[in-house]
Amino acid sequence: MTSKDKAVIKKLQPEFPLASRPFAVLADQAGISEKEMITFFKRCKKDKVLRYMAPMFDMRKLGIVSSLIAMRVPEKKITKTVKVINAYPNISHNYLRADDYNVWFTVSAASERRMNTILKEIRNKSGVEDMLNLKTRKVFKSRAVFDL
Amino acid sequence: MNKVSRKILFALSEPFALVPEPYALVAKKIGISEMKLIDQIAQYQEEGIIRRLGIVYGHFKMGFSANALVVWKVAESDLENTGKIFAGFSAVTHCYARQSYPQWPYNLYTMVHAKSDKEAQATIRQMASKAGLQEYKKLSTLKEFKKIKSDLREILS
Repeated sequence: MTSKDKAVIKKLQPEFPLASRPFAVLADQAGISEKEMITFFKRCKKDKVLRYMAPMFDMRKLGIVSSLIAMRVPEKKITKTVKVINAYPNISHNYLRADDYNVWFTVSAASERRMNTILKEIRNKSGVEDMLNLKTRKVFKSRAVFDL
Repeated sequence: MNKVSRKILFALSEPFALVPEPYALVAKKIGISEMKLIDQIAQYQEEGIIRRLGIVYGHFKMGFSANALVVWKVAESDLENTGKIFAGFSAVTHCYARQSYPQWPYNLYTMVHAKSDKEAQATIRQMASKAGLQEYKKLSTLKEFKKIKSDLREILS
């Protein structure tokens, strides 16, 4: 990303406008044309600077249950375990972290029961039993906007 | 949830297209007018079902390459207060209280984003001192195995 690109992004509000021509609204903020704005975002998308523009849902309000799971996976079982976990569309994030509990993923499901089934299947298929279900008790902050 | 709103929710689960009239495109897919869709989105926002319409950037590409999950052991009576203190840090994007276990006593979770390891360390030290905490763990991200946008259709079906 060039410093010029950064300057454009910096001028933009983090909200995607709720208007018939949202890119025209954003273009106004950046001081360029609507067409230039769309071209700019297309390039950002290609360069993976931009991930997506979309509604951010409050999963809880839709009755969806979510959790963070940590697993202690022996080195030689990591590849297989990750493959098992990633096969579920219910898992959106999965990371290797520097700890004995080394595999960390987030899971969302339509019910508590469905979630427990998925977790049980992951344990069975991977052969890894040591798993912590780190259920959310309270959200103090959840944000994805950054100061540039 | 009725059939129409389910259809709307599923259509909105996909990112907006980079075209001049993205809402009109989504509305067409659902089979409703653009105005009806925009009204419906506004209503979801009011109800808190949609937290916001976001423009989501990739942090690595934005220069936030040193990300760490930091987990803290906090006394139950201090949890609320400490959660609020950490939420006040701009480098902290997520701050959650979570269930702990005897073998894993950490009950407060923060995602810290920084441009360098040094910067992350400095922020974490500042957090620890402000909250008066000694027991915490920095769980650096070694590898990203998966990172996708949650698909409501897949989760709810």
